[in-house]
Amino acid sequence: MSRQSMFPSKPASDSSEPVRPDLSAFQPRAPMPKVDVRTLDAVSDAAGFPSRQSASERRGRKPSGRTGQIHPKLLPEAAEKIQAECTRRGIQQGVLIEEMLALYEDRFGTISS
Amino acid sequence: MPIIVFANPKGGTGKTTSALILATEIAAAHSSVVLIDADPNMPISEWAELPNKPANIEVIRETNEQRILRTIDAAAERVPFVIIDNEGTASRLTTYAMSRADLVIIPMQGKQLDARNAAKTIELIETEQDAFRRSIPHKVLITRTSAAIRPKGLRALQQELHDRGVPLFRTELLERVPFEAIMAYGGGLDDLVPAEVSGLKAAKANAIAYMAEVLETLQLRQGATAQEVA
Repeated sequence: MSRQSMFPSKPASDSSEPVRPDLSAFQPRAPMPKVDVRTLDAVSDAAGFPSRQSASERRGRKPSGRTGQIHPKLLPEAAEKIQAECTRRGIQQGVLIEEMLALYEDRFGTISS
Repeated sequence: MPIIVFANPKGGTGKTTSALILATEIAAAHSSVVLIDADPNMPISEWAELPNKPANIEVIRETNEQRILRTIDAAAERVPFVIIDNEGTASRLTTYAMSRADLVIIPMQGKQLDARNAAKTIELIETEQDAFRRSIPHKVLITRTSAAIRPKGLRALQQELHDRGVPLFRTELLERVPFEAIMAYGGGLDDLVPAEVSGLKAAKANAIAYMAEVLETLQLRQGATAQEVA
């Protein structure tokens, strides 16, 4: 970036209006090196700037609530299709099975557990 | 290129207003800005919902400690200016944002309580500088001063900051109706109608002087960095 002044020495046509600078010298930057987050945390805590996030927020993703388990044995072709569809959509197999159950209940009525 | 962080752990010091004025002035000067709203109260995000948000200001709400660094880095690679408005509380989010800053602006009103919290911010900056062996330029910005009255307490406070060697903006952000108006009605100073808002011309001159001093500080910083490298 030029060290010359960014401000025009003479005002533009309307001298009563303040003149804004030319900012074209400022451009997006190249990627920056990573910072050591553990050191940052230590510095922050020592200076009295603690984390304000709850423990559950810090842990990462929220629990899905999917604690039930089944262990079906399927024909290999069906198992492969389920796996392929889950990979394509980026979902867990449990989500797909829940969707299958919803379609089943739509067709045959609600199943009482 | 520049990443500018607004920080003071006390609320009501003028962080959001001064961040917004700088962003809208940069946008009015035809550059692009990402304005990161790191305040859970979302004042900037609420402003972005109002009419007249300039197309060259993108507002991103980010209050997650795990994501803030990535959000800042990604923005800095896309646009020339990244501005981060922090919450008025002592939070790790502020420390993270500062670690990327080319300039930390510490807004404060001319009050002892604001000054104590500004001092706390400067202590954090100094600790971070020592830990990472990196200079983090910072300046205190006096906000909401009166154009007509200069209280004795403010003069004494400014003298104290000066005596302690605290970097201080020459420009003060005055208490102006147009600065409040953009928070309430959206857009920037250019979107306000002079007949409807008093003191618009003086507010524009104040905002431009403030932006000019920010740019001057950034230029000096860049010059110093170039000398260090050489």
